Amino acid sequence: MANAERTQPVLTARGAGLVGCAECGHVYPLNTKACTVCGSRLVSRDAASLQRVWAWLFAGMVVYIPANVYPMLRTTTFGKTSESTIVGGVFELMEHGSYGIAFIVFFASVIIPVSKFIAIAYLAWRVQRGKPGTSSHFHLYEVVEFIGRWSMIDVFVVAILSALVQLNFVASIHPGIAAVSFALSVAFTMVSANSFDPRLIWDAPEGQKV
Amino acid sequence: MSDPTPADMNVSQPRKSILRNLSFVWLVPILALAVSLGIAWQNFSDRGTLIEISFGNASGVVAGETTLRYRDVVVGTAEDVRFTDDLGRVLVDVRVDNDVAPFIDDEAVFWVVRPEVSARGISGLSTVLSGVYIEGAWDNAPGAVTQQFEGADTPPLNQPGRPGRRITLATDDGTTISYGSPVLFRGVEVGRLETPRLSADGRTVLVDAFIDAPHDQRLSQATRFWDTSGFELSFGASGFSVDFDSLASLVTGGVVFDNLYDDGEPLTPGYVFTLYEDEDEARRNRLVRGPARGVAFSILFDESVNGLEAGDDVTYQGLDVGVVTGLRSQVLEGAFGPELSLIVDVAIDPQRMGLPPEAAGPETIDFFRFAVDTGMRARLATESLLSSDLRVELVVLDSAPTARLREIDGEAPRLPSVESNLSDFTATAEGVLERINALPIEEVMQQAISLMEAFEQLARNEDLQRVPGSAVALLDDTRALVGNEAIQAIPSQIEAAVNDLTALVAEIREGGAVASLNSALANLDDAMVGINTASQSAPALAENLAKLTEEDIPAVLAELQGVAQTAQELKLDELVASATATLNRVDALIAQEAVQGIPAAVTAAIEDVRTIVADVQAEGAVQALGSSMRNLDRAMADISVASQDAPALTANLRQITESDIPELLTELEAVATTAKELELQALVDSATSTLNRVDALVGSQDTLELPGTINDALTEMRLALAELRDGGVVENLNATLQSASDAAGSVAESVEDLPQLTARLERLVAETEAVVSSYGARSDFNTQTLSALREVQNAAKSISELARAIERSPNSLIFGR
Repeated sequence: MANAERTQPVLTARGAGLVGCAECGHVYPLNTKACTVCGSRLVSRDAASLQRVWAWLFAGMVVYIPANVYPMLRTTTFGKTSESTIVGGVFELMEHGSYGIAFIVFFASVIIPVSKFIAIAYLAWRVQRGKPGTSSHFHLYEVVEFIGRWSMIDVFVVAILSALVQLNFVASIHPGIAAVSFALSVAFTMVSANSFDPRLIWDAPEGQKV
Repeated sequence: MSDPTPADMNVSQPRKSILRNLSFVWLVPILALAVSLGIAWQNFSDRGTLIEISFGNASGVVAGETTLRYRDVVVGTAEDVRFTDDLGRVLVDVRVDNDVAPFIDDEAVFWVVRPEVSARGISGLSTVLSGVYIEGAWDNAPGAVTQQFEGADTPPLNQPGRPGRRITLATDDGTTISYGSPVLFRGVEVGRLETPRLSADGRTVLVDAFIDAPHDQRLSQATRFWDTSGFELSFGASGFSVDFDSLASLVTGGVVFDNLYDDGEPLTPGYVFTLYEDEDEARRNRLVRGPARGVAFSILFDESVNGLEAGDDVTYQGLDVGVVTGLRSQVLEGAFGPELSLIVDVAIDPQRMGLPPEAAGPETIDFFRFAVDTGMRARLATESLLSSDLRVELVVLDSAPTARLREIDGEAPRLPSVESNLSDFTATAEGVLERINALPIEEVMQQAISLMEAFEQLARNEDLQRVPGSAVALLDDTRALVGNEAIQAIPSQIEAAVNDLTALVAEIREGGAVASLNSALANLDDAMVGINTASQSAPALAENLAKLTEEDIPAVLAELQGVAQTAQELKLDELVASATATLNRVDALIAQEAVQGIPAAVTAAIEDVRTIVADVQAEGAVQALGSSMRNLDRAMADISVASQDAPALTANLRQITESDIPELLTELEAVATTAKELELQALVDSATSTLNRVDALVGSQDTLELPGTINDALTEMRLALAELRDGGVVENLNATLQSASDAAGSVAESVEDLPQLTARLERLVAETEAVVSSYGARSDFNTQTLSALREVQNAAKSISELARAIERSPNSLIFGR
């Protein structure tokens, strides 16, 4: 693969003296400042992108901690209140035999966010190091960006349950502080993923490129 | 490949400093971090104070879920449930909110609230769904924070911060009290009982109670608690009644309290109330047991104290002034070696004795020292009508033997006691019933038999037998009175008087002797009537005696006690004795001097009569002699005329005048003097002798000779007449004879009054006979006496009937006829 990379360097738009609009895909000469189609600012490479990625990623990771520590749901059934965190809820579901749902919750609430953290960090790290990326990296980025929104499934569940299950004494569900944290975490990671300029993947330091 | 050869680009990018390249986006993670840390810090700082509560049983307590509540508001959560090192108790770590943590100090109590269904209702129902929770209670004042607590198994009644008072009750029987039983005051629940527990020695059941404010202000040492558990069935004059306070108290038991009197002393720390079985007992035991109140005394009783027990009353004139605190026996050194004596310990309430409330022991003892000196004694008395319970009674006896309050070092002062009047109290129906209640019926029958024996004995009694004897003696006395020598002598004396009077009828008539005698006889008649009345009152007395026997003795019999106890020895004997004494007195009355003096008075009357008669006799004799003298004078005038002719006659006459007649006069004078001077008997004698003398005088030689002399004189006069025919001597003599004839006529006239006197005497004799016969057979007195004896017989018969009736149905004594 390394040989393949070397033998087949990717021709980038920048290398072609062009700059593409990130919004509409229109291609302009390199120094064009704004897209004539959609009015976006045209930048060949966003130098601050990595900083934003890292910043949002850190923010997402920071708020992910309370999202796991604090309870996600406060369920009050017949006056009895139980609070469950994300992981606690997963174990609770497993105790009840709902392995499928437990897996889904675990996948959506734990594996996906953690994977996103790792994937974004990995991509950003590679770019930071100036390692030339391949198409597989790009696919990874695409997957991360695509799947990020699905992490909100937990938040959706909590939101829907909180809205629906308000039966006063019999049963009532309130979102915990973790719900907010988790939602923030997902949002931050999505912003982080969006902040990432995938074009940086293709760039490699001049020195190494030859 | 053709190289487009772009323009030589100077694309070397300016080296920017790191700071200048730093994006503002970095603020986001910093903010997120700050917020997260802030939340974490807030959580950490708000997580509250950890306290540790140990429970014997923490069933239902779940870490993280079980909450700690204060006034049903969640103030904490159990964080951990674990055991003590020895697994003896469960430790629950509770995270308490910081805002309440300062209030949780030493006095805080915790208990687990669980659903509970009891007779008083259902509590903790919410915990059925929500699970148990820990309830805490503490006061409103912040205190030093304490970490370790011991949880209670049941909700404490005196929760800290709840106004009220916690008291302790002591009772003998804990079956009717249970945890949570209400404490009622006039039917209003003012508190609750806690769980009963046994005292250290296991003899008493102690139970704490918590009285809510403001009702705890009512508590004082005058407060009495009693049990109202269950229901009470009573069947009495008011009918059948079921009594219970409330359904809750019916099932779980309840306690009621009330103040028996005002101004009770405030409670002292550690004061223990006695829980009485019922209201009556509580009200009866007005005084507190124990040394808290009352001054201790002890009383030594010689007699049995069976029926007396601790807690019985000590009364002074019916007022409860103390309580018996204990009975004990003690060996005391007596005159004949050690003796076992019964000592009753009592506690006297000075306030109830009227001493000032602040009077302490010494003042009370001073008072009792004085009281004992003035006759206060202790004695046993029965508690009530139909019980053999005893109480100690303080009485003031005037006749009490001298005694002093014995003060022994180290012991309670000893009050002197006197024999109780249990055995000889006045025979009342109460006493009889009480006695019958106390004694078996056989004993009563035995007593009835012994009563009968007593009556038999009484019938054989000397005194009773002496009653007829006394009556006989009375009759004898009366008879003796009637047959008195003096009275007996009356007829003979009267006879003698009659004899005298026969001779001196005219004079007697003139002297009013007959009237005097009549009045004397009338007096005698009155006296006889008086005696008769006296005799009649004797039957009335006998009648009274009979009535006494018929009415009072059965009444006495009805009071079996007194009769059984005392009548045998005292009452009837005394009655008989007094009856006898009365008869004796009547006897003595009849035999007394005054009555005895009646004959003497009669005699005196007759004596007076005699005196009068004698006077009359004397005067009459003089008069007669005077008239004789006049006649003689006239005769002498004639004679002196004649004497001129008959000197012999004159000489004779002179002889008569000079010797015989003066002698007679002297004699008569002596008689008159003697009659005046002599006493009755002597008077009679002297009268007799006077009569004799008169007789003798009449029959005397001289007097006898007088006719002879007169005859001689007449002869001489006849001779003289014969000599002197025309001297008129015969005419004078005829006149003299005419005078004598006149005298004889007047004597005859006087004799005519004699039958009248005889008739009076006859009447007197008849009355005397009537008097005598009134004491004879079928007389009023005899009838009365007989009826009296008949009444006695009736009384005895009714007594025997009563005894038989009692023998048949002893119940009638209890229930009445």
